[in-house]
Amino acid sequence: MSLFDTMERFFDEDAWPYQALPKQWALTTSYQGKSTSFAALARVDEDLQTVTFATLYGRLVHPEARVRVLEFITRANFGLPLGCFTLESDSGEVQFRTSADVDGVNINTALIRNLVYTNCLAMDAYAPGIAMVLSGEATPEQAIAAVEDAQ
Amino acid sequence: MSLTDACLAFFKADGWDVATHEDGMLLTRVRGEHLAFHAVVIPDDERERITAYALVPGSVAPAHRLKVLDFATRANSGVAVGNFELDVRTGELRFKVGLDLHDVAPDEALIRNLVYRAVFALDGTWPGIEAMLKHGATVDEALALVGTLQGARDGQTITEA
Repeated sequence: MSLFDTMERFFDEDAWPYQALPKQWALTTSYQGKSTSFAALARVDEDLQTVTFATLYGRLVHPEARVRVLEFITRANFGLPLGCFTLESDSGEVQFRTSADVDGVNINTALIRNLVYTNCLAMDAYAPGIAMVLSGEATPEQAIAAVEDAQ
Repeated sequence: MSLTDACLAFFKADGWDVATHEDGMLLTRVRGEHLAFHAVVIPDDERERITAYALVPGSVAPAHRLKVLDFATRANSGVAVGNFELDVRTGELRFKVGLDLHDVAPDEALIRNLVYRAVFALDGTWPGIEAMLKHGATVDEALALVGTLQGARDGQTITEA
């Protein structure tokens, strides 16, 4: 069974609606968080044997907020044992990514589930902090403290 | 088998010298192609996860932190597994690879991939980081020195006590 087949099987078994992209390399889905819905992309690289799940924050970071958001995601990443936030320099898109190198591994749907659920929970927890930084309501340090206090 | 035992079994089978700390962290020293550094693996049996860190020796000076942050952010966008992260307070820079192993057998290949991804990512990226810290390279110049990290595990490294 290919990585893509295993990934698709997880979403079928877990009853997540999704849309497979052509050529079986990725599928798009979404996650309903506490207050908002996040678009997500699950993708595989059959050659490198990697599986990646990424949720999109949704709002683009405008250039004047970039350094503040960068500081926020840097502080967040340093405290997280799994996954990371990324910020695309050109587009201003914030994503949270979880991934695994499964080369030589007999992969099952539990591993995919863990990547997906870890990811969704992290994005849901930290998204309010990103919003606070974007609006100028809090400094990155204050926003991280608010997120971590809420956990 | 506990995650700690699984990690220790991997290190033993793969010929690494590892010290176990009282808090459960597994510490080893790596001599890569470009850099000698420490790597830490944290098996967390309670939360069923393992996280591996490759640590840049010393700390990034305050004057370089914004540039390194920019480098790390752009490098992270091109990395399939793991990420660079910087402690903005202390300047500690490291590469992290973590995996949630709930209901997943911690087999040797999974642990090998975690550890080797972290180690090779830092060693392979060091020329770019060093160029910024020691030679005043721009972020673009540093990234150009790094190339792709996707096939990092195909390299070679040596561990030492």
